[in-house]
Amino acid sequence: MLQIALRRIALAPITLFVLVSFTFLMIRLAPGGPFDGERELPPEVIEALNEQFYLDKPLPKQYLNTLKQAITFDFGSSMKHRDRTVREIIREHLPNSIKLGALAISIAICVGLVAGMTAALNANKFGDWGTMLICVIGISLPTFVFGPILQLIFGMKLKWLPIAGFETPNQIILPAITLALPFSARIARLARTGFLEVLKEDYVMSAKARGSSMARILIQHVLPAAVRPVVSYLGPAIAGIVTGSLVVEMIFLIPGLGREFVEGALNRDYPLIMGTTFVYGSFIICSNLTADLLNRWLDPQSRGAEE
Amino acid sequence: MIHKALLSICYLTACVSTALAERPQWEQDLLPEDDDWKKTEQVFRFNNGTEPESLDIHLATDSASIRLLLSLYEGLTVLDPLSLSPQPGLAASWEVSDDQKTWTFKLRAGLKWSDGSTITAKDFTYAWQRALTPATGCSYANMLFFIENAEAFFKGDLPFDKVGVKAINDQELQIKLKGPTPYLLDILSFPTFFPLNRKVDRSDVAWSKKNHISNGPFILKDWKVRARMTLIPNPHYRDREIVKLKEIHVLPLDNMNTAYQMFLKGELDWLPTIPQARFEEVQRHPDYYVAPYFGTYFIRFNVEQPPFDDVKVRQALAYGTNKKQITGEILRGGQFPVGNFCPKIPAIGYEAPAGLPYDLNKAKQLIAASKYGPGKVPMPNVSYLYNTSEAHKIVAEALTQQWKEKFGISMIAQNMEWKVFLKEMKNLNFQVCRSSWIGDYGDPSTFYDIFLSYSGNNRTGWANKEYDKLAEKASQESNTQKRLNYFKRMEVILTQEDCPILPIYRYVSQGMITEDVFGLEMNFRNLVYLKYIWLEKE
Repeated sequence: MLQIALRRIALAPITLFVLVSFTFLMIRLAPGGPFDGERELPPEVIEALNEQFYLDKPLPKQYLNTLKQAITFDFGSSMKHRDRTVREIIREHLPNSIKLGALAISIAICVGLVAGMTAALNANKFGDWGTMLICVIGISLPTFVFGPILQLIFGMKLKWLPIAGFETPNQIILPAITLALPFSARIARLARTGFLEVLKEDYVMSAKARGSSMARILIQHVLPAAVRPVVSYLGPAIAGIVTGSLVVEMIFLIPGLGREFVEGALNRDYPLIMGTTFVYGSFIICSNLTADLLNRWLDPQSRGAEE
Repeated sequence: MIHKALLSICYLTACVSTALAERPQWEQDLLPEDDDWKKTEQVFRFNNGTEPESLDIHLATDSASIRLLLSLYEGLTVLDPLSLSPQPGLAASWEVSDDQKTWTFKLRAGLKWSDGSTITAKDFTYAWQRALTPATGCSYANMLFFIENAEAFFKGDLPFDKVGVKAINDQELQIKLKGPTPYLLDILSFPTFFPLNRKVDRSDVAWSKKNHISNGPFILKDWKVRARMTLIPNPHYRDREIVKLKEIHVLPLDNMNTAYQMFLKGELDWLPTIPQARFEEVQRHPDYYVAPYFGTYFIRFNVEQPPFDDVKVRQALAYGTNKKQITGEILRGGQFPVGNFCPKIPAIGYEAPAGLPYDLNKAKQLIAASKYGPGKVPMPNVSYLYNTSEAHKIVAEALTQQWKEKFGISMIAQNMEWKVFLKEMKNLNFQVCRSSWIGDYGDPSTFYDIFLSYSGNNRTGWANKEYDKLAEKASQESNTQKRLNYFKRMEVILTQEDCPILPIYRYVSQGMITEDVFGLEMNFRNLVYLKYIWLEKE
């Protein structure tokens, strides 16, 4: 187990290196440059800016410079917002994304597990169909529709919560729910399958026969085994939540990193693209790694095999 | 309450006034009649539409930044928001030489920066030198080229002391121009011409956020990027009494739907833009307003590519495009169809010739007479380029349909991401494409200059010697009427004779404002001076 963990951790920097190189290449292949605009800049200004941002150097030199920036995590200033450095943008916006993402993933896990369990315990009965129907809606309803619906109901009609913003604690609720919806629906479906399988296992049956209470059976025997498919889904889910927060950030005026990531790409803001890709890349690698290790740990078979 | 633009033609009279009692008439018209407003909490909240690119006066190019800079700073002149005629700002008065090439501005006495230090003429020369230094990366640097030797300094050919701007002493600034520049007083009110405090260390890129010393009616209190910006009155502003707002909250929402919900809930007082998808609903709301805007939506022809290499085809399309259908039936957003490129500029009395009328017969005759007429070269297929956006798409579809029906031109509309679109346009890698232009200052040259043969903004492959010569003549002409006639002739060449472009419609600014807001005057250049605003609940 430890060996596997160490091997995977050692691989992480190599993955990041490949990611940085690939991103460097892709953004330079993309047509249009950072200083193209509706209004043509004077050539002297473009020249000065190219020099300032190292774009007047040959590509290999630019590449080495980018690698150096990645290692030192200093990508210089943004090309679009030239009075802000990429590091500053990440420092200001990443915590907001993490705050929102963490709450969303917690909601998704809690709601998803409870819904999945309810469905499994009422298999092929009304409770099951009802829950699964809601799940299908949850998966297929896009955030740009669900978000405004929540705004309308809780912001406009009931006036319980603010419509947008990220300055007071109650402003995080609606965006977190919006962001969590599709993930909780997917988790519910995975959990339902997991629970159904485990409920049929012999050891659960015998526990039932021994007269253990249902709650005890669920917590002690069923839950650890049934959440395994959910745990393997968590890696991609966290990545999806973090990178997929763009629409939610726009609807609810949240100063998160998703916006910077996408706008960086649209504006051909090379330093910002590198910085945000690097952060997201590290994040995804870490969450995949954690989910993978957790899954191995939860699986007695693979744990036993390693030991 | 809808504040309609009142566009009166009144030309400049340099009146000097500092004390409230001597306030000039144009400014008195912008003041509340009584003190009732004091009963209302003076906190104004509006949506700025996006995060401003920068609050560095030399880096800002977008309207979100410029809107704020106009209230954080003040230049030598300001514009009367109603008539848009230039009025004294930091300058108390000015003198001009007979050849109109040397201007001497005298600053008001006791002007201070927001940190309490004195504003001197040197703050202007410092700022303009910075603007003209390529390493600053000022997108508008060429706007200063009407100053003597400014271009030579910019290109590195002359030192700055040869440039025609000089601080004679702390109070007097002298500007020498290449030629008479009738729009000088207007353009001096634009952010690129504002002064900068020399004490601020601008080697730290974040200076405009952390250490923002300004000289306008408001100062930056707090800037939470992509969340909220807070402005408060500048205690050292020269006319502190006129500032009635206690606090301004600026939100950078680009999701117009959310902004609209917040407005309806009473969390915002002003929306300068509306959600187009809900236009019908917004239009019925009593707080909705629409005002003309200083911009034109047009299409560019690539005159090097068939079939647009034949001027008759371009003219035919100018005659044969039903713009009324596009604005009235398709866009329905208050825009109005136009045949000319440059909008009216009432402050100087300019009205461009109307352009070619809609005349289908004439259009068909022209196509028949062109080299792509019946029995001649077959009409090639055409591709229409536009940057991805729903509004551009529906215009593209309408044009495709019209041209197919009327002239049998088969056109494919092709959308591209913004930066790719710009690259294709710049490299003349298109046949016909959508375009737009918003004027920067109150003179026709802000529109016509982009189609000079040597302009980087031309992007049509079109060049006309007479057109270039007229621009040159206009830049040297001191007689206003003669000058405006040159521009009228340029307009005729551009939109009636050579037709490298086809104007479609004039932009409008549409927004919503609550009835508690006063002093926010909508003018056609969309220039808002927040210092005149006050709130008053009935």
